[in-house]
Amino acid sequence: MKSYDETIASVIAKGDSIIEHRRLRAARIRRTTAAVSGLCAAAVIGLGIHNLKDVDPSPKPFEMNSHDIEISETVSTELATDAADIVSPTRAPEGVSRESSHNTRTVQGPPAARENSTAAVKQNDHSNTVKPYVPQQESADDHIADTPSPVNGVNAPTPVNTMPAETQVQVTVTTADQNAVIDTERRIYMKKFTSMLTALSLSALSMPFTSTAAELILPPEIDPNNTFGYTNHSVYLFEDEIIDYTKFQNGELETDVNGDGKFDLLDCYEVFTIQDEEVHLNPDVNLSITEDDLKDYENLLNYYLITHDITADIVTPEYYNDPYFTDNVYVDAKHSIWHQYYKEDEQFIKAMNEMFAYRICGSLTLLPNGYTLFEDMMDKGILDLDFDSDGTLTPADMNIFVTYMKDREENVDRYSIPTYLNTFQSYHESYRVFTKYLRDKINESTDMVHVFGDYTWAEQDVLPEDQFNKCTDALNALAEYDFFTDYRYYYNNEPLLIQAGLLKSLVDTNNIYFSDYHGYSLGGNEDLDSCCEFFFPDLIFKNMEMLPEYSEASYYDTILPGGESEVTANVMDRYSKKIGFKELIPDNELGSHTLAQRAYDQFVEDVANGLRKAPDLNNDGVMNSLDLLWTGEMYSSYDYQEYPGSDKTKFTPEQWENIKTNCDFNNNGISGDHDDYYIADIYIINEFLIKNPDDISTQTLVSIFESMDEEANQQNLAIMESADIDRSGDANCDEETGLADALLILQNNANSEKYPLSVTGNFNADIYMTGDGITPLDALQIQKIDANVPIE
Amino acid sequence: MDNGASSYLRFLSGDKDGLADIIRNYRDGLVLYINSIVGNIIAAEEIMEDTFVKLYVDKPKFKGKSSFKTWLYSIARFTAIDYIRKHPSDLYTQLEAASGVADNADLEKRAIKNEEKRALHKALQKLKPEYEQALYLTYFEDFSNRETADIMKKTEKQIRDLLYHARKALKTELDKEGFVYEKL
Repeated sequence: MKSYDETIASVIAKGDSIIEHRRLRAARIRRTTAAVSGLCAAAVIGLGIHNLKDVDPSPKPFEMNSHDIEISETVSTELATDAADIVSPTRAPEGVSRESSHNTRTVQGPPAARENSTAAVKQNDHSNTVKPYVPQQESADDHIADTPSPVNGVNAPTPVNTMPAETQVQVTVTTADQNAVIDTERRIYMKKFTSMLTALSLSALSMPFTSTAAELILPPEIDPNNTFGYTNHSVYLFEDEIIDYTKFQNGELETDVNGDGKFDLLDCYEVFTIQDEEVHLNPDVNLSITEDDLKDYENLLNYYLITHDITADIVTPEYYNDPYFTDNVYVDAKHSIWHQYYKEDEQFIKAMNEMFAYRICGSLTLLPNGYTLFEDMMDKGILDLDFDSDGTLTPADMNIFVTYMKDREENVDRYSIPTYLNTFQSYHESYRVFTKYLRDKINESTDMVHVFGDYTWAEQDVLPEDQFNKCTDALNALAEYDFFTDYRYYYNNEPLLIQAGLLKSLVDTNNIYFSDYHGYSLGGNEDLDSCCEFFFPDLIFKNMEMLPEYSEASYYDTILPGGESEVTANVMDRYSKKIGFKELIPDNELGSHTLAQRAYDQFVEDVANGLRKAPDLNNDGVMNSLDLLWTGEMYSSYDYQEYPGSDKTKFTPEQWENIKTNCDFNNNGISGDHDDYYIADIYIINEFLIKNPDDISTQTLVSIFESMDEEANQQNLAIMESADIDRSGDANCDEETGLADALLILQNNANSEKYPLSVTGNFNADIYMTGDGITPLDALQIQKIDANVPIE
Repeated sequence: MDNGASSYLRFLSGDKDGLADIIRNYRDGLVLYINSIVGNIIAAEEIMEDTFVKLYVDKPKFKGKSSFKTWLYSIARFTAIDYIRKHPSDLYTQLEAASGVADNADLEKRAIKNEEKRALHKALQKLKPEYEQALYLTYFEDFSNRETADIMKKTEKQIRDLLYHARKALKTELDKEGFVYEKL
């Protein structure tokens, strides 16, 4: 491993290289933009002047005595052709099949299109597709007809003589009316004026683009060009990707990289099969992207996936064995990193296809539209989740599957999973990849077939045989579509039913929603609570209403005695909360009116009618923004009851009593539980914080959350001082102020991780120069108080 | 505000040594942590560098809502996840790089002084990654449950559950090797 200095040097070198690359790129874009806009302006002005030079330049006064006026204009076909090229840029010049700068290639339709038309483009498939040019015989007639009126300077209704292309076209307008003269004159000058305006507007249009081009980082949530409706809730992830998506969307980056007239999986496949160095090493690479662009094109596949419905076939390697793909592999084997592993040439394409399918699977687990894959699997009968075979998905089906998986988890021995499987599992887990190599190795093993084919119902004591077998089938079907986590090889994990649970919401709202949430799944598989477990309920409640009993274990006990009723009920409970409270968040309008939502609405109504009190979590007699400081503690404290000794509540006895007696906001008989926490949190935010931004409690809350932000501190200092809020100095929140608090402050200053201050402690401790953060001077101040030293 | 925060502020105000201090303080721990995510010491080192490059280039704002170390580890985690998504084949290719094993051992020796803990760390690597991560963060980096939850983007309750299962799995693993770790 490198030395520290080498690491530092490497980081700085990499960073400088990126900064320099960005700088050069921004400069290049600026230059290109300026050049293009200048060229456009010049072209338009030139065109305007050119058009006007053939007409009489001198403004003709109204000639009241003129009776017959003849205006002649001669336009050569050459001019007409040029003009058509400029004014109508979508037309291809003769002999060239499309205007793209790269070479034209003709490919047949993709397998999906040829066979079953499965790769349907979603509604928000955007207009990046280049319209294929249809070769046709062009005649002079076409040119003339295509030549717009601003070029020939003559009004459209004018009779037009059509003549052979080689001959000149003379257009004659004859009027015997004075009004016609005025009209014609007006048009000429209007054209002049229009030309000027067009030139000006083109130049003007380029200006803002030029000025923003230097800062390529678009604010993810405020991008004015965002037309496919994403919302980026990710702090760290996806920003670069979203910038690329936006460029694809806006046409800044060409999606039809192979120039076959359409954007499809072949474009992604071809990009996938090239390497950085090959763009310039291999002149045969016939894609319209440059080496510089290649990085942007890392996200081309993802862009395709989020803008198209995903079908079950495209995630299988076999799909890419079609010549449509294999004939377009650009990788020179000797440059391929994969080839280093797959030494034998004949396996190369196969390996490539495996990797591409694998890449799609990997992306789908993180992208919003993985859900469509599972819908397709169910439509095609590949995945059957109706375990009790009653013809519809119900919570009972989920209970069966949860029971099945829990049994696997708890009875490893019963499932006869051999020891060496642990090795494979560990191998797989450690390296996060499960490629064909490992898959083959495992599948080759007859023991493994035995394991998964033979762990049968005979050993199961809860589920009927048919239900058990259907669960096994579902597990196997899911495994085929997720290279990352092949659940057949987990014995202590529930299947995630892949990550589609969360993603479902995105499909519903038609809002592509990037969040760190998607990344969680890769961190491990325990995030069932928050993400993947909801896939099943999402499917179930598409067609039925969520009822209170579905969150009760007793409901499942009657259906499947001995099953995992508690687990299923808990999942349903969390699901109802998730759906219910999502509705309160703007831009997330999902689901039906659920239990949690109803409980919240009822509480709001009761408070409005004076039947119940607003949440006063800190028990200071009023509800205000400062109560929000205690909602987290309320949530945790409820857990502390369940996990005695793991921690202890920071509420004072009086406050805790208040929580346990006055905070049953959902009227379920338990005061201070997690449901109450949700209601309190949202109620305080909705009913107080948002409505009272200038209230001193809101300001104080803001200052606490920003207390580490120096700039904000300066701004808040005045507010805090004027607020005249007494800080007690009680840093350790033991209701007393003394040397222990001073010591904690000093310790915290020395090592804030080892000696953390709670939010309240942090607030209390800032006793000296309130608003400037926690400093040793706060400790000194407390010591003075403790020693009864007069304070200035 | 310390344990890196002040160094970071120094860096933000133009002093590159601030970043150098952060790298010296956190590099080894970060690599081990990232290794628990990607299972590949070579990639882990690269991701560690990428994490610091992010600080260097993007200069993300540290708002102090958590400790600096928690914040840094969160960035590392996302960088690792991003890396896995974008370079799965790299991880795969690097499987065969045997030199990584030696690197890992060296790093382990340098970063984890206590021999007992080193044995523990070895056992951790046999657990599933999420167990490994949670235990690593709490045992080796002394993060509290709340901080671990912040880094792993879970609730505290989830972390407690996770640690409960992880300890159980670790104990099984250690029992197999006849190793007793009294803190489990």
